[in-house]
Parts: sequence; C-alpha cells; structure tokens
Amino acid sequence: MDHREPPIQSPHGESEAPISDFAKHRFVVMIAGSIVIALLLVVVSMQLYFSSGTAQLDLSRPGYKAVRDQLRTESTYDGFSGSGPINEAALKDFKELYDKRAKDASADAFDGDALSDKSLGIDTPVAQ
Amino acid sequence: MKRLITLLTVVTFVMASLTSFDAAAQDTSVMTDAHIERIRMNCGDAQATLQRLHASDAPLRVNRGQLYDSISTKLMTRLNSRLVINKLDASVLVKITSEYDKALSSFRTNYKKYDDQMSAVLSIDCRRQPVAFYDGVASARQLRGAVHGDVSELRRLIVDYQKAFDEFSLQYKSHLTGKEKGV
Repeated sequence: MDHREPPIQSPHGESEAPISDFAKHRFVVMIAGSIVIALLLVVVSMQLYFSSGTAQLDLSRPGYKAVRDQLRTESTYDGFSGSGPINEAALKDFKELYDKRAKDASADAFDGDALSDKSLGIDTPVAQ
Repeated sequence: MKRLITLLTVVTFVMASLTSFDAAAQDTSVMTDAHIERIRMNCGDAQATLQRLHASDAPLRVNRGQLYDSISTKLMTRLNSRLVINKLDASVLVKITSEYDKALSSFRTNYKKYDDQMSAVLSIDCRRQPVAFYDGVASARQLRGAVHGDVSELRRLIVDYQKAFDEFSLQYKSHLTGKEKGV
C-alpha cells in the first residue's frame, strides 16, 4: 500500500508537494541553531581567554579593583628610532633611554618569601 | 523533529558541562595531626594573605611585562636593526637579544602556570582539605620560584646588553677617532 502523504491541493486546484516537519518548524530550528552556535563560540572564546594568558593581564575582573591604580600606562613611550645613522648623538640617545629602563627593571620581583609556610602560619608546629 | 530536539538538548547539556570547571583536590602529603590542626586554625589568615598576594601580583605582572617588552621591542630590536642597516657588527647584541626574548617568553609561560595554581589554591577549602591546601601552596611556591628565576635571568641579560653596548660604543668611537686622525 502507498503510505505517502497525498499531494496537497492548492485553492486553484493544482497539486503541491507535502511540507516536511523541518520546513514547518524552520523558524524554531533557526532560533535553536543560533543559540547553539552562540554557545559554541562562547566556549571557544573563553578557552582562548584562559589558555592565551590574557586572563592574567585582565585587571577589569572582580577582585582587582583595589589594585587597578597601580598600573602604569605608557601610551607615549616611543623608544629608540630604528632608522637613521649611527653617530655619537645616536649612541648617547640610546644609552640614556636604555639606562633609564634598565634602572626600572633592576628591582627584584616575585621572590618566594611571601609564600613561605612561616609567613602564612602553616609551618610545622614546634614540639613543646 | 523529536530527534532534532533531543540532539539539541544533548549538545546544550554537553556544552554547559564543558563551561563548568570543577577541580577536585586530592590529599597527598602525610602530615602530623598537630600540623593539620595548625593549618585549620590559621586557614582564614592564610587565605586572606594569599588573596592579597594574588591581587598584588597582577599589576606587578602587567607593569613588568610592559617594561620587559618595551626594552625588547623599542630599544634592543631597534638598535640592532639600525646597526645592521648601517652595516655595523651587531652579532653580540643580536645574540643577547635572542636570549632575552626566550627568557621573556619563559617568564610569561611560567607566570601563567603560577597564576593558575594560585587560583586553584584559593578555591580549596583549607578547613576541610588542609593537606591539599598545604600541597597546593607548596606547588605555588615552586612555580613562583620559577617566575623569580625568569626575572633574575631577564635582569642579568639587561645588564649584559648594557655592557655589550658600552663595549661596542667604545670601539665605534675609537674607530671614528682613528678615521678622523687618518684624514
């Protein structure tokens, strides 16, 4: 026996192909598909945010409000020019720029004392 | 249609579970009861100290990162290319610059590992898991040591470049003086 849906008759008496379920619900499918794609992109971008190291540099996150004013903004530092002759003036210019930066970088950072067991109060108790 | 809705539900569930990260800490060290009790007692203060340290590390990382990056891109690289353009021997300076860039890359990688570990330690409930907390802090200390090592290496290379530049500068000036006398 033939189980195909009978052709739909149009108002003008012509036969039309039956409409599939997908076609009937295409608006819902479009909305659902958009949500799925958006969620996928969110997952990918969050993964990139954490894996690339950007998260460590992002001080707009909650918990860093108190330390944001410690940031040094350097929008106007031009550095040494990469083109031009090499003469005494250029060498002197470079030395001044470099010595200043080297002085800023001479301070130590990230030493381990702050994380010692004693400073955190989690060292082995002394036997009494 | 039902199959499509089922498929979409499964995909949504899988993605929702991917976005939630649950790190379960495992107890590994063997510690005395007195030590464990001490950790529990000082848990609150220790976490507060770690929180403050974690927050203060962030601007330090950003400031130092900017400083080290500007030394590489706006000073070292530019001088090296200017010397090469003027057909001068920059091989020593280029070699130090290359080592500096490697150390800078290592600094960035190691800091990321250290920061991830600190975040993990801060999420441990030290009253319920004192041993895991202690092990986490030990691991963070080791990783901070690696970052400190990178900072020391960068400082050393900055000084080496300074010395190499001073030497080059001296030789170039005497070469110029020699040329003037020859004329």
